[in-house]
Amino acid sequence: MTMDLGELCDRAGCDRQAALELLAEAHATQSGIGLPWHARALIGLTAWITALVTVTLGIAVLYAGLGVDPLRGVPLTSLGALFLGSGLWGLGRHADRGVFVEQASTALAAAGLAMISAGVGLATEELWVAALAAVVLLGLVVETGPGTVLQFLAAALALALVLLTLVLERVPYFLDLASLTVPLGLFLLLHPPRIDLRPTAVVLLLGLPLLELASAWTGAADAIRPGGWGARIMCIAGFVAVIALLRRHTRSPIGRRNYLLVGGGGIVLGALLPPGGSATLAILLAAYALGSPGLSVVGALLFVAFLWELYYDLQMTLLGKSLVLMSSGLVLLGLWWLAGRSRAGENAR
Amino acid sequence: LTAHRDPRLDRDAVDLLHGAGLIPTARYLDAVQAVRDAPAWNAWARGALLALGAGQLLAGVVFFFAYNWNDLTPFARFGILEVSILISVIAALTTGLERALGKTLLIAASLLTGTLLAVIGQVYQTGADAYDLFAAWAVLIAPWVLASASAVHWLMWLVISLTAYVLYWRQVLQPLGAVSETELSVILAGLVGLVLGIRELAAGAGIDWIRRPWTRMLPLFAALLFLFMPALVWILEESVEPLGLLMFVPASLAALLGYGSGRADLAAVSVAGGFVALAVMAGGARVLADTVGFDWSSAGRILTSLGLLALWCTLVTSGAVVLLNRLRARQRGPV
Repeated sequence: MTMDLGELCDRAGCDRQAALELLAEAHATQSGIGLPWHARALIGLTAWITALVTVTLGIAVLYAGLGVDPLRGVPLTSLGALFLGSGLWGLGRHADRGVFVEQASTALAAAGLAMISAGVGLATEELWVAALAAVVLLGLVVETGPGTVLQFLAAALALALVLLTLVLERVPYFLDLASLTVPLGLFLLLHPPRIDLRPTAVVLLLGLPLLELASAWTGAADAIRPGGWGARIMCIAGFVAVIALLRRHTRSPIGRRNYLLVGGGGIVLGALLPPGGSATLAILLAAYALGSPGLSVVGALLFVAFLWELYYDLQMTLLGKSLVLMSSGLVLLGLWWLAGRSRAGENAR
Repeated sequence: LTAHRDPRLDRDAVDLLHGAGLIPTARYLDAVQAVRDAPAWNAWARGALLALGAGQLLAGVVFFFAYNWNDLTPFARFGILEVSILISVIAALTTGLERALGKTLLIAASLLTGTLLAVIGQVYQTGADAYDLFAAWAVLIAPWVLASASAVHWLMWLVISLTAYVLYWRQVLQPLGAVSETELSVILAGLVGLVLGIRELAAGAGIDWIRRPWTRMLPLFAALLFLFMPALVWILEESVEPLGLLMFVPASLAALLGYGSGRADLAAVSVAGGFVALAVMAGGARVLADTVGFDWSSAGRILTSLGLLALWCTLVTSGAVVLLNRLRARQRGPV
């Protein structure tokens, strides 16, 4: 990337000197722990195992040392609070903490979040109370801002418990309600507030497709899927909104025309595919808009998973499935062909 | 970093500036789009459209024939598939194998060849074992795999070949008691390791399409996983065959030394180091189980063993951190 800071500040309307100072300061702080993601993943893996052993040790202290049943509400919540407090302390200790401290603290805090939610649920014997506790804890994690991984896990726990509550309580139009997470996630990713909510946004974006896949794989699909047109419309609306946003930020006429075509194709695909499949298209589009390799890999894997799921869908005949697949395949290939033509046109100009 | 040089600009930098209030929310997307590698992402978008579109169309065609399968005569079944293969190959050659579309069409021809073999097996039910199908499939598409010069095609071929061998083991060797499960894992690791070796030689010889990092990482991960699993079983369950561990130790050390020397490949070292760290942690757990024991009815024993295990895991992780930081420092060179 050859863009310099002056150019970026001209385009984004920021103060160059202040930006330079901030980035220089951040660079100086991070230089000691600047390991690439795969090295961090290795350290993270071993740190998580260490933290899980520590959590087991905590349970052993309660059970074997103090003779308290750790699977009862109050002891579990107390132990969870202890782990969450230790984790947050480790994460907030100092900016240049090592990867091990960061990951082990994250794992301890995450275990604490899960234990508190479970403890509250066990004490009240109500799932929705556990979900509410998880949402409140997510707010705490966002407010204290200790790390993206912890926020991601806290958001995943909260969303999973909320969705589980909606499923078990048999809330009408459940899938349509759950699909609200897609436009909300897109909005938070592409139009983010100053407080860092990116991990929560990613969880919201992944919620619907993962829910559909999980329900299909666990055999609960029939209980969840009825209806779904509201969800489809919600996903299409999210997709179209992103296209409109991208189009507004594009100067080239060919690029603007291409976005119109992709928007049209997206509407057709959204009508053909199940809601989770449309949400996956929105994820791929967000990956493109933000230049996010992680989202692009997740989106592609989810898309393949949806094709797999379609094969086992008992509510559709093989003929129906083949027509859906061939139509959506032709739409995608048509867009690919048009993109190639536009590129050739731009090169010629 | 000096005041005269601009820092590296990427999405993290934009997020930092936005979080500090230096980039207004309304201009956030402008800023992100300005720092992302637009040509690379446009190429990614075209590739994704082609791969997803071709994949769906092909799956749709397969589903369509599956729907009408019972109404088709064997002749029609063979004819449709053979004509599809022929069209794919001719279209691939016409398009040119150096282009993404040409490679995709040849991959489609390879997939259709597998379908054709499955149909042959269905129409002429000879009672032959399933490994025949996969072995024939691997042999028949091998020339296309070589001609396409595509890492994805190569990966597909490798999976088909390994599946053929696993089925051969299950259907022929295992009933004879000729090769145990541990030995199978070691053989698979050897085969994948051989492929990795060929990849390294080819990359060293300047063959460009094979030089993508994942063509090293995937076989390395698979080869070490094939050795790690029996090694772990031996460590934790005291299986009678230490062969997995005996092969895992030199293989992982070779990977650590080979990819850690010179200008280290930190990704490859991380993969090998990850497996080694897990094995060493498991070894510690086994020693503690044999000496102190994980007995929940005895507070002293369980607290001692879990406390020591937590300490051991911390030590192993610290070792990994030191190793990776040293390699990283060597990669960067003297400042």
